[in-house]
Amino acid sequence: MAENLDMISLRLNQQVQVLEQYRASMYNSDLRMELLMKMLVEKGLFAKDEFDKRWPLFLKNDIGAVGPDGVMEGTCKIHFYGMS
Amino acid sequence: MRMIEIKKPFNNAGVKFEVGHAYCLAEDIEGQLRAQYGDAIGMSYPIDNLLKPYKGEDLSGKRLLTFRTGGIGDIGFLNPVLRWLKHKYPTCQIHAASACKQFLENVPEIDCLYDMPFDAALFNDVDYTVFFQGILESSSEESKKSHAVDMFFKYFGIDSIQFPAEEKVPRLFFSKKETDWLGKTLTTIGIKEENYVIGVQMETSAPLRNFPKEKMKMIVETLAREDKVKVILIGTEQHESIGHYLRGNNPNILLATRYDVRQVMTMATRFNLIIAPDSFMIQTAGALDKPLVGLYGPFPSEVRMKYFKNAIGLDPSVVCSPCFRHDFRACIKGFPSPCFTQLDTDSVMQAVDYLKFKFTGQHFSYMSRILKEPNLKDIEQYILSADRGIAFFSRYFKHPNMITVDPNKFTGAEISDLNMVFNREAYPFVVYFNELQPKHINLYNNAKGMVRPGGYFIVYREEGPEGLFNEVKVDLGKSFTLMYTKYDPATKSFVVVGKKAY
Repeated sequence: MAENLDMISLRLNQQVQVLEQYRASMYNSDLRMELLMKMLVEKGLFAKDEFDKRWPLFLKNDIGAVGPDGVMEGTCKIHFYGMS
Repeated sequence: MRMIEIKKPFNNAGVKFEVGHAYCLAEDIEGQLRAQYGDAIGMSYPIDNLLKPYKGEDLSGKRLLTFRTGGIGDIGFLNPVLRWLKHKYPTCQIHAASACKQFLENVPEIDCLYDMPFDAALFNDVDYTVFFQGILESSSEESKKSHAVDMFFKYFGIDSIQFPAEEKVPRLFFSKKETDWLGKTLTTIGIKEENYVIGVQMETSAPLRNFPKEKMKMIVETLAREDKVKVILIGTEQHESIGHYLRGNNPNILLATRYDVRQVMTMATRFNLIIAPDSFMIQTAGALDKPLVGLYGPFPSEVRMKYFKNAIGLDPSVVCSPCFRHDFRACIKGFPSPCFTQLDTDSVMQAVDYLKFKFTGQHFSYMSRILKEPNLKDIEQYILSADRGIAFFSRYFKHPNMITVDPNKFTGAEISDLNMVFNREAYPFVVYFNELQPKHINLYNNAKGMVRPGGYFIVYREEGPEGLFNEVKVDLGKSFTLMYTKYDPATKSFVVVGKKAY
């Protein structure tokens, strides 16, 4: 049991490392995704469909990369509530 | 949620744990207590068998227990539901328990209010229970579209869609002791009647929702330079370092980091305006009907603020926002969350001024730069030459013969959506104010096509370099007959007028 827990822990740690590397990589979202998939498949941490299932938010966040200046592309929306 | 048995008595955070009793608490709290009072705690059990789920039954003469651990602001969403239930079933008894019960204190609809952990014997004394943990945290599709209060109503089996907004706003109630404390404290910290007091919550409990502190500093410093303004920075003791950073040496900025949550809520009754990221001060402002500027990122302001009065929500419009993350870690894209890069300080300052002007009829002095009217005397003849023309980026400037277009919603421009379809060759004149940045080049070029034959295209720019003036002149000369050009080296403003051929 303890061994299994260690294995799971190691596996999770490896996943975190991969994701960290991915984060630290380039700002081009297409290239990042390609790199991530390559790393995931080659390192055999988990298959793409498993990744899609477990990290949907991560994939979602991949859209709209942050530029080197730290600024994200977009606009500011202003909402007025109860102004009458 | 679990129930623990007590083998030896102990006190923890004001709650007495007595032998022979069992206490209901969250799993993580059980872990903490076991680490600290291990030998005093016996077996623990799930509470599922003790629950008597309420599903919308008649509560007349019945006793209802509602409980949830926190957080402070989330408990505020419960407040309108209990008010509605008590109004519908005046003879029912409402018991409520929470680890963050500040929003429920002194609420007249609640008969008994308990801390968490609470004595599990309470389950035997009530007819129904509502355990409403996880309604918001589930990140269900409904929670992304519905206001949190509507989610809470639904959980109690009540359809609140038709309820008026004022019935969905939490209310705060204060004891005489609290109001007396406020009077003394305001005197101690030097708040006078003539002061315009702005409460600013520095941070939330989640880094993900924290507004960038550099921007917050600019906002706080600008406000504190205004006449008679006092800025009160709200936080806990752990926010003192950021508080000192934001305050600098400005005597008009005060730190409120040594008060408890109830004291801060009491103090908020004196605030003229509140600025806060997505946290309990938003709900406090709403409960007190205080003018509010909400700084949102991971969540849309609409699902938290839309029933409040005089509230402005600033939301970033980026592809990954709102992400609806209930997380105590920072955003995976960086800290502070990069979506906040789209919330500029200018928008926050204009939101604050908008609310102040609404109630006092006076603008802040920092608005003089933005409110400055363009000097149009040299070109007024073109503007008055025919019926209404159109003006882009006119800011707060209005002219009876101009349809104003500005994406800045605070300006009150007639059109704020730059993506709407503008008719070609429809206007006797088009004035294009100031915005000559590359990102607006398409709009600039399209605006030239909106001038009808014989009409005028006017470019007006304040504080522009002479090189830009020459560029505009050359550009307009290609498709218009130049009628008037002027560059003022003193003010560095320029105007170029071109006439479109028939």
